Amino acid sequence: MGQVIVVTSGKGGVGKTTTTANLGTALAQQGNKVVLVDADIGLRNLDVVMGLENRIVYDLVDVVEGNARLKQALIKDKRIENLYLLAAAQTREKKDVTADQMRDLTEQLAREFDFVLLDCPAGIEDGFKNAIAGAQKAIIVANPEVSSVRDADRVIGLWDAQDGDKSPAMLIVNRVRPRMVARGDMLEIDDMLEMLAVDLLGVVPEDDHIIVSTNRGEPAVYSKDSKAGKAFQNIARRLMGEEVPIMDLEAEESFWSRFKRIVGLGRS
Amino acid sequence: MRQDITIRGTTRNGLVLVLPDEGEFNTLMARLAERLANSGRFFAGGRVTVHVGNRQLSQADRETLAETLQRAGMVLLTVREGGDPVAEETRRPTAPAPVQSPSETALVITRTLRSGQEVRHEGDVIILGDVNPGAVVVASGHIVVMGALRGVAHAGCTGNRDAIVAAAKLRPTQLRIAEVIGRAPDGDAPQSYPEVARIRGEIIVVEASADRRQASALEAVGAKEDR
Repeated sequence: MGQVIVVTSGKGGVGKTTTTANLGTALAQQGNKVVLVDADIGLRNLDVVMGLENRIVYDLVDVVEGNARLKQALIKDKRIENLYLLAAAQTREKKDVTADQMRDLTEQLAREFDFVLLDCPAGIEDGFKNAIAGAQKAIIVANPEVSSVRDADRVIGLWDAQDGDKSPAMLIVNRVRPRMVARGDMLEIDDMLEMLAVDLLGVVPEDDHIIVSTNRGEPAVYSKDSKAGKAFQNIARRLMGEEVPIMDLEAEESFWSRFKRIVGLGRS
Repeated sequence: MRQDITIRGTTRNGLVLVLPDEGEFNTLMARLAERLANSGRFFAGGRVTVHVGNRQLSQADRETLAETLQRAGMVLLTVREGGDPVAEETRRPTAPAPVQSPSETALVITRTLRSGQEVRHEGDVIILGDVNPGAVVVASGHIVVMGALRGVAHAGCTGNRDAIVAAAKLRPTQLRIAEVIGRAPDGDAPQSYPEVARIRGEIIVVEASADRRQASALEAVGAKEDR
């Protein structure tokens, strides 16, 4: 059985979909069989970020309602062999799916795939409850800002309160700007961890590549220059059980880039 | 004069419930039950002194009363017959106020309370973990947090002004003790040692939980006998 992992945050706009797309792609690059499930019914995005919007015929609700077989609805990625997407329905609502149906669906998928990544909608209502129902693991995405950490805390509390076989939540701190953290204008990762009391799965720097890659429908992990892409690669390896040290954004920023600049290799 | 049931919170003795002199007892009980039901869990955990006016209660009446209160989560402390409750109330300050002992039942919570989680308990609450922003702890007795208290804590919620809030790291969003509400002054730098909040006069003050010099001396010697 594969791992069923939900990517959630409570707060919107912190990078759930980006994280799902990049992690999924990175895991597939490492040879895993991966399926991405967009659980944000009515507000689907994952297909766009993956550049697969124009290939959708059937979606998650079609499968749940029996209008399509699961195999028919799985969209094969255009770049990687063993990566698939199950799109959300755009014309339907969260309440058109139940937690039990999601549980059945993820169970079926886990039999076929090594990793089932669920892109959770923002909020803590039905859509969220459905998305976490079938997952054994949770990745909490938070930005280094107070409101995001509050919501992450709330979501971790809800995750912990569930019955059944659930692993402790893991944290990805996304959109970190090392210079702002150093100046004290952003929350320190350590302070976030102290309050949230969960394991740190990874730290992803703010990266202009993400916007470009999202608009192009090409996850940042494909880009050699993207620091965020590199961070997601590392996170993927950690999910596979490898020990990869958390990259020191501060050192990389000040030491490496300065070094490169002095030697004349850096772009800026 | 007093036509209806009145419920008031007092600072020292919990809630006071006064039944009007007129009216049949069972009718009053039905009305009370209805009123309590309408107030939801508002009075839950309240300790009540009931003034029944100039009527004599039978054993059955007392049981009905206790039961009615219990259904709303309240505890019947005493029943007072006869006498003018208002006069009695004004007389009371001259008599030494009974110090409410730390309550019988302490609730121990061995996890961190996260945003959106709430604990209500009649008695003391001890938390072996943190109370994060957005979490709420309400107790009729003391509240002791062995980790960081960052959320909202309300000790002595039924009017016990002697209740304290103590935490290893006391940096609450807001503190309430009995009916007094306080928050840290803006820009206040948090302390790294354990602190206790209690009511002094009319405000909540925060102090080190122990004499710091003594605490450090104990640490150095490592023996309790010195005390």
